[in-house]
Amino acid sequence: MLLASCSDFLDKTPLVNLAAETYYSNEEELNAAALGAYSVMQNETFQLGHFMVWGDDCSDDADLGNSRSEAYSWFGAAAIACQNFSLLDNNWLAGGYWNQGWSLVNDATQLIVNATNNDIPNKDKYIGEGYFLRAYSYFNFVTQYGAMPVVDHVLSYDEYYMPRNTEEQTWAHIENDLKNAIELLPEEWDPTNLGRATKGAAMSMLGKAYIYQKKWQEAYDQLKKVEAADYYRLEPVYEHVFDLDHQNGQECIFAIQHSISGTGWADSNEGSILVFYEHDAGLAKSDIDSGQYPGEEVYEKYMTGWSMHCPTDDLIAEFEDNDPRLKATVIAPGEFYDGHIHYNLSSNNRYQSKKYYVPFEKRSKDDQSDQPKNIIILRYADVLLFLAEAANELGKTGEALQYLEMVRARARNSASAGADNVLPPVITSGKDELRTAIWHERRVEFGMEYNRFYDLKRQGRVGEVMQAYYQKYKDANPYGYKTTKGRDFVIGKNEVCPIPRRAIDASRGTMEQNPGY
Amino acid sequence: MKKLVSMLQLSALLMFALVSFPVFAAPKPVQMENLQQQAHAVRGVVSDAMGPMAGVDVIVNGTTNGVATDLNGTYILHNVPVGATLKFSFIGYKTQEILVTSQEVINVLLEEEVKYLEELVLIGYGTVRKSDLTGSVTSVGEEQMTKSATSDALQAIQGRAAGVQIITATGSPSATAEIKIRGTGSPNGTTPLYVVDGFPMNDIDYLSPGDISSIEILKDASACAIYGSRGANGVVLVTTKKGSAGALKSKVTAEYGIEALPTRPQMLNSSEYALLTNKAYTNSGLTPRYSNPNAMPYDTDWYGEVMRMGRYQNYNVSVSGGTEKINTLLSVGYFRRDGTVDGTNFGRFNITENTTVKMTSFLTINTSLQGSFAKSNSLGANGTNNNTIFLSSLIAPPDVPVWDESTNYYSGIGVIRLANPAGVISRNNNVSNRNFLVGNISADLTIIPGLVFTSRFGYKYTMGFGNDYSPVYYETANISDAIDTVTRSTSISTDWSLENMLNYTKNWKDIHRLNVMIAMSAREFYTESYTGTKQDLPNSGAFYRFFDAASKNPQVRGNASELSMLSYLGRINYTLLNRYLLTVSFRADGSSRFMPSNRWGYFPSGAFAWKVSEEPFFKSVNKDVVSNLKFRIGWGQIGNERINSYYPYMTSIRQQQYYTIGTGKIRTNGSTPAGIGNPAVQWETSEQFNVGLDMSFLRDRLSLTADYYIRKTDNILLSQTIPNLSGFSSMTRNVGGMENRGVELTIGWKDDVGDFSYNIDGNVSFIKNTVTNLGTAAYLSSSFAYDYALTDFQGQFNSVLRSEVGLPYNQFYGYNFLGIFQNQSEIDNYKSAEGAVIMPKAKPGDSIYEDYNKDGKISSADMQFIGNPHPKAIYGLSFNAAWKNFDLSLLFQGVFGNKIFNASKFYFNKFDGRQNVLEDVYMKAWDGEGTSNTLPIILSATTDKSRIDQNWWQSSNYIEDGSYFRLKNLQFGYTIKPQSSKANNSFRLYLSIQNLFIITKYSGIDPEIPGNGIDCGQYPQPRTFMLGANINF
Repeated sequence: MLLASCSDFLDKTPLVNLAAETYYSNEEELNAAALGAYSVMQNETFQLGHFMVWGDDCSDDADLGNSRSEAYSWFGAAAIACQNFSLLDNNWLAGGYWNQGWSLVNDATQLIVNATNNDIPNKDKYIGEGYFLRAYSYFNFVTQYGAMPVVDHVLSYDEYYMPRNTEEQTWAHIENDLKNAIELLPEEWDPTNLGRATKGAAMSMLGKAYIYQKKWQEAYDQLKKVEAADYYRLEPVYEHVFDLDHQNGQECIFAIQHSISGTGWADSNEGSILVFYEHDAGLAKSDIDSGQYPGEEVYEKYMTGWSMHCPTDDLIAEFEDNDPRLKATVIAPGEFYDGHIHYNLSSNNRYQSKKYYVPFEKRSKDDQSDQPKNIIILRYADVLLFLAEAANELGKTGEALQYLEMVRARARNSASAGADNVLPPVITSGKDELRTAIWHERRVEFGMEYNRFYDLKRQGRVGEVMQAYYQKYKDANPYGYKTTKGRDFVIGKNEVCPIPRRAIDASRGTMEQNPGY
Repeated sequence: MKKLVSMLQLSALLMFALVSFPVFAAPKPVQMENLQQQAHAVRGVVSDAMGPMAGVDVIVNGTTNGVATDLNGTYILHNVPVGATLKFSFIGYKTQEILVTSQEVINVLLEEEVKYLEELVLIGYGTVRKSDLTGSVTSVGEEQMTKSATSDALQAIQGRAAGVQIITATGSPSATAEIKIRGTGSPNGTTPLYVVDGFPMNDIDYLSPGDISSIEILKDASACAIYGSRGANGVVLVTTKKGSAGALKSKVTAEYGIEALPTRPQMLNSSEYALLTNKAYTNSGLTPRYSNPNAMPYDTDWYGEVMRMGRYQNYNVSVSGGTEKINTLLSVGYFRRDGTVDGTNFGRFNITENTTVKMTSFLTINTSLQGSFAKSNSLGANGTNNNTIFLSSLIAPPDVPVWDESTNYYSGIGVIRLANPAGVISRNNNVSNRNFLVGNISADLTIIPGLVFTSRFGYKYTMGFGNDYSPVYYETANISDAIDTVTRSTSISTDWSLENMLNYTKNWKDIHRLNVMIAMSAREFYTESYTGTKQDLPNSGAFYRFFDAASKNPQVRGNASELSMLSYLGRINYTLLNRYLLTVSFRADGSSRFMPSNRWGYFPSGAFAWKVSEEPFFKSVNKDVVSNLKFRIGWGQIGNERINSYYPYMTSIRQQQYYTIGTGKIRTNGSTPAGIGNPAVQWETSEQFNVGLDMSFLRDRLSLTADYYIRKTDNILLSQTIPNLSGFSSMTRNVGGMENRGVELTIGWKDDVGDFSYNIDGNVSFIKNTVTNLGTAAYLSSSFAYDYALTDFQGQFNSVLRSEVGLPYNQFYGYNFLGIFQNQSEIDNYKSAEGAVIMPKAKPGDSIYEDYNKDGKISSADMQFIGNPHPKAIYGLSFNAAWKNFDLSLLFQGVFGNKIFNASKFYFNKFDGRQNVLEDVYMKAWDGEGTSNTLPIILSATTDKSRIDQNWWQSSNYIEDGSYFRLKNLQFGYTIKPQSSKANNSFRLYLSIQNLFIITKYSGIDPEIPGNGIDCGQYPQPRTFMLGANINF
């Protein structure tokens, strides 16, 4: 009958969405696929657990705010469980990176595999980005969860159930990908593509990967190459590193790019939501009415944040006298800054973080989660202090002191005129003493930059530091807050997060849990 | 496939039997004695009002001497003795008997038998006599359709069909009802297929109940399988009103009503609120908040600010008439409802045209055109905020003003993150339009007597247009907008079907009746939508709310999808000796949703019925006692194509995954894989078995229908968790299984006593639902949909719904609430077997939860199944009576044995010093030993938020019996029929009341809960008083 002969009547090409089978066929599509992979890193869940909670709030550097913050009611319980190092296998913050990290691995792998198989001009740089991003995702995985299954091709259904490889194999996969990235990535992109991964970023990341494995010689050699290539310089003024006007500046090696997207609240918008987590949660009307906090007006919506990343007294105490980096790192209670006096009543010690602070006039006016500040992953000071560390371990004390001094000198020169005896040069020849000095330097140089926990972990002392932190602050601070942070830390177990329980369940027994969990 | 082969074999055997049977049943020789009388040939033409009729049986009564009329309606019958009687019969017409004298030409005009027509029942792609039904079909007629005060055809049939559960979604004027036919067969939706005048479609939102002449609900597989992959959730066949030959008839209907909520929840007034707040503060160890509760500056009646008297209006004019060759119906209607929540309304204009043209004796053409233009104003883009507004109007604190004069801000009730309800209404400008145009044309061509070719084409055009403006406003930091936004959204969809069908009917002297139908069907669906927004208008004036007046952030989004289906189908109905009825059908469906290798699905069915009352041995039974007895049995396989994704086999690439690059930080397009396609995806399949019994007694005064069925669904598409190594956490696979078993009973009684006539119809159905397979998942769990504004629900209720193999779908899951700790020793003595104190941190007045896993502490591992939302029984009972000019009809409807998760208690009963609660809480909350075992101690959220939250965890304390019995509708009418004028003139005046009363133990506002049986305090159904008039002339 009618239409019976139209055998193609049922062949409908899906509209709007493109099919993966036919995508990755030209340079424009490779470019979009690479940017799509980068955009995973902008997601709140990519950053929140791995960077803010685990990287800082679970360390001795930073702390959650209190229940005055609106975020506390839904975020607090899970974050405190992380800080206590208990009940972690079903914790959405401890497990938050899992989905996002694999999503990035998959996006990068699809790009690498499909682009490699297709004959497209200029494809190398995009493939290089794929390798870089996959390595970066694995780097986060291995630092937070330990050994991972090594995925280097697009998996079939049965392969979803592959077991974990060893930690050495995981690191080898990272090194391999970074070596490929170094081969393929350009030394620099044109100005319209600023912010993408470069050869220098891959070289530095490889150096960092060696540092984390304590492969001091490889790290030293690799980081020397970065220094020799002369891609980067320290910003002359320390606080400019975090300044909106100096983003992607001469010191920046790799940063997650953020700008106001104007699309409202979305996990995947282009603005930074970590900035919103760390902005002051503001005052209630009753606080203002009480008259205790002069100079404050009722906040506009965009003026408030969540106070969930606040500097600890411990971190503040770590700074040497007159170190100008302290003022660049924290906003003290009562400080007049950005046209307002700040109180941060939602912080346990009233301090607020400053590096990721966005001035009111630069904030997104319609959505607080959409802030225009990059999250810096690697900067040249990292390379210098890693070099100092590697050199010291290799017995090159003089060289180590030189690199340390470069970082201290920049900080010293950032101080306002007239301050005396600011950051005197370190003069020590003992390997252990110098190591301690470098570790101290890292802490104050990178304070509130979402790295502290992973630094402590690779330094092999995270357990003892956190246990000591608990003993020191478990009783009330001047504002009446008691900490439970570090309370349940078990050395040899809590250095890594458990594999999320749902991932263990989903693997039908093929994925092994970390020891102790 | 094996089943298919045996079906084909069966059909072949039947064909053979049909061909060979007439040979054995050859006519007997005419008896010799008749020859002595004068015998001659008689001829003539048989016609009806429309002209000559082909295929009319003409037979000499008491003999086998018979013939059928030809295409021109003529017949010739030899050897007709004088004095014999000729019998002229045709299905649907009154049989005529004519005494033969000497005349040789006998022309006969047959009259349509009206009563007989009513007994025809629509089945897919055809009709059968009601007594010949082999499947399970329920009919709802025109009279019943128009009783209810509603714009929604589904609401109009609530309570009237066994096995069909209809839930009025909310009291929002634009709400449409939910329908479940024979329970929930798949988690992927229960919506049936709708077929309007032969044209399949996804919804009937556009239809006005007044334009419908009947609805048939096909329930079992043997009835639904003819719709193949679209039939698994049942099929609703809708027939719209048609014109008829004869004088012009007009009908005018006008209805006007008012509506209001049946009950008003009594909340605390300002002084009581202050007293209770002070108690909460005291209990939490704080200084009382209000120094003088008896002299509060404000006592705001938020409910009064938001609620109002609703209004119901319905007007319809229809005109029909025509000649024998052409007749037509034209109907125009307007419906409007203003909701009981301020600012909500729904209006719809309907126009219908329906014309039948008899071109020739063998060709009939029918056309229809329906337009429907609806406009509604609801709060919030998707209408769900209607619920929030109602809830927030009850729980907003009474101690703050509606409007703060000093700041011009709505005062901050935002502490619970609910917006000021009066504010929400004042800035609501959300208007949505839904316009439909549906056109059908069909042609019936009689090729030879009994063989009809039908071709029909239907086209449905749907256009949605939304229009919103969100002003600049400020309530609190989180409930504010610094920039105004104008929004326009449009969606357009087209859906066409073409069906070609051959239908052959043959009757061999009432020994064999055969109907064979074969058909093909093609369908194509396309939908496209886009939304644009732009911000920053010069001011908030209505004349500026257009894109060109706005200056910032233009944004636009759009999407589209399409779908095509191709089907081949056939059915044989065979009746032997009017006693044995057999139906077999088969359908093959191809769909563009699937990979070419999985594209085709095959759906067979078979049914058999036995009319016991027609058996010779039954003749001894007094027909006055048992007038009809029929058994039915049926089996079939059907598919469910209502799966969520259009192309689930494909791994697609998602665009607009922007990243920021360049010195200018430019937002640049990126793309990522959007999920994992599953190339093996196929239809969900449903295998159903039905046995039924139809009986009538006492000369049809008492009738009874009973059905038992088993409905098994397999290959249910479930999102299965897969390891994230894939890049994703889930993948859609055909793994699930579900089973529904049920019994349905319908009983009717009708009688006349003098001028008094009445009928009572009751139906009840019992359903048991069981999940039989969940693939690799140990359980399915889901939370419920709540408005974003109700953020307190977030975190408080996690995965309240849970399904496990062997248990009913989506039961409630939570802690078992054991009561309230009355004193410290109860806390100390609440120990595990090992002696551990189970709730050591509890204080007197706190909730006690069961340590279900006996590990000595309360954790999420102690959650268990705490209630089943599926009713054990649903029922309806209607009563109609007429006495002289008066008529009365009542419709009762209810459910029995279901549980409701009364989540609204979290707001209405949980006091935390930040929101208002029911007045009852003031007196009844725990306040010392022995005062309450259900309402925990009143505390302040300032210091005791986590304790309050724990006291109100998701537990059996929220579970309530959801049984109810409601007088859904009452109508009382008086008809004036002038005796002098023509028969059709009449005037009827009637009063109709909707939702007059309800009997229930449920403590919430209305136990009729849409969705999954979780009451979030939705917009309740109003009680409507309506006065109407019908004028026929």
